[in-house]
Amino acid sequence: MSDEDDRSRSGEGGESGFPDICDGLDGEEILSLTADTSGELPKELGETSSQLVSLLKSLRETPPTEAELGRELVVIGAMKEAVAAAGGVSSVTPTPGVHSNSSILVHLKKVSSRSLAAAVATVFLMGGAAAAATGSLPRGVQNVVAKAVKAVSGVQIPDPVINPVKDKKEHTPAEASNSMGVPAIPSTATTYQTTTTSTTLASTTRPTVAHPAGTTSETEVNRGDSGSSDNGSPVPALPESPASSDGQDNSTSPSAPTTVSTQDSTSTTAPGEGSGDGGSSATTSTVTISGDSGGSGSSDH
Amino acid sequence: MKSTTWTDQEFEELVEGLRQGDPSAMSSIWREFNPSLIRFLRSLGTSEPDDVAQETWVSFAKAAKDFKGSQNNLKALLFHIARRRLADHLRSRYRRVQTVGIDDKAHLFSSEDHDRVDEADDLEKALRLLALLPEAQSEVVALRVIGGFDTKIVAELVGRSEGSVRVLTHRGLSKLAEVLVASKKNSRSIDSASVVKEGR
Repeated sequence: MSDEDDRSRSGEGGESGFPDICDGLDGEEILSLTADTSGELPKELGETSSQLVSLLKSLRETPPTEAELGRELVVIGAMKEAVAAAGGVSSVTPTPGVHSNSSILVHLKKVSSRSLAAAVATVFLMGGAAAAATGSLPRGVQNVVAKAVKAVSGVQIPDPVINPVKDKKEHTPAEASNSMGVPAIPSTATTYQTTTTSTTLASTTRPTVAHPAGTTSETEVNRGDSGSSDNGSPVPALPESPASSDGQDNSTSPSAPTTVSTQDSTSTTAPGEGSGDGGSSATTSTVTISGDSGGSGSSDH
Repeated sequence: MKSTTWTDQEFEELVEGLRQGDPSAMSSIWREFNPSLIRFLRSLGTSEPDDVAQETWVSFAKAAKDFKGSQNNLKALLFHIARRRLADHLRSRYRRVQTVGIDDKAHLFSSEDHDRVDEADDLEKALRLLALLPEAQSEVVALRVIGGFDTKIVAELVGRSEGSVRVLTHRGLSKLAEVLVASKKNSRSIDSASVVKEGR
């Protein structure tokens, strides 16, 4: 019900209404106004006015009873604790070394602004470093991440696994020439391509042999063998092979200068080197190829 | 209207003592306002006015830390908190509360009782009488009579307009008068249920 409706029904008229009804506790005024506005009160209300006024007066003027003041000590004690807990000045001496909740909160606020950013950056760097190390990122992104990680933490991320598509392209001629299906050795250098070809041929008969000079001799021998008897399929001639593929005569052909150079190169390379080891094996292979034309290196061995 | 108990200087010292947790200041304020607070709570039909009053004072001690104003403002703050604590109290006991109708309470204020009334019993009778009124009316009348607040402050306390507070006061007083008249006419228990419930 709205106020206007209430006023219209009660006959309240603003200043002549009831704001001051209880201020002076004038019972006669209260009841007269009530009787005038309600229109439903019995006429004998006037006799009751004194009773109502006395009752209303008693609500305010009756002195406090013992029941109303009986909890003073309990309430005052609770109020003191509440004031102390609310952070106000209290009689409780703060314990040294014990931080209040507010100080902890303030401390957390101070730390959070920095540590949050540091934590986020750390997480991203760690994730990026891990992704870059496994090579799961695109090339450009990986470079950027690797540089960032190196700049921040000093950790250098190694290059990921070589792209196998490029190797396949490089080894395609070798695989086509070799019907044995020898697995190709991964390589990135262009000059290593020819070397791979020769080692492939060498590993056909003796995969574990890593000696460069032996490889040369074995290669030449195997060429003759494989070309005639392995599959019956003709082995396509290598660029350098026409001279050597002619037959056994080449083994005794004058190739002393080549042999000398092979020994020199062999002596310069580290002993016991693997067939797939980087630059040194490339050097060896190169020598092998040159010896391939001479093929007598194997005869020395 | 009784509005000032202390001088301004005394009141400022009391409020400062209240902020500092001074027991003497707390006691002075508590002794001054607690009786009216208890009566206000009882007029609203609270079964445990002392517990609600204690919770009110605890909350008041916390809130008074930042208090600025006059004595009436401090008292209004106390009653404002009391209303909230009372609501919390009733909410917590909601499922246990058994509503007692007006018919069941009418015997508490019979004409025979009124004849025997004396000064000491006037307070109890008045509180019972207020408890018979609808909640909104009894609250407004109690704040006006017991708390001694003017219409504006009561309107702010109960969240109504001043006009609404005036109307509720008028209706509450009218019904109190009706109950008194009916109690005098009938020797038996007052059957004022229809009269009082009309305004609910």
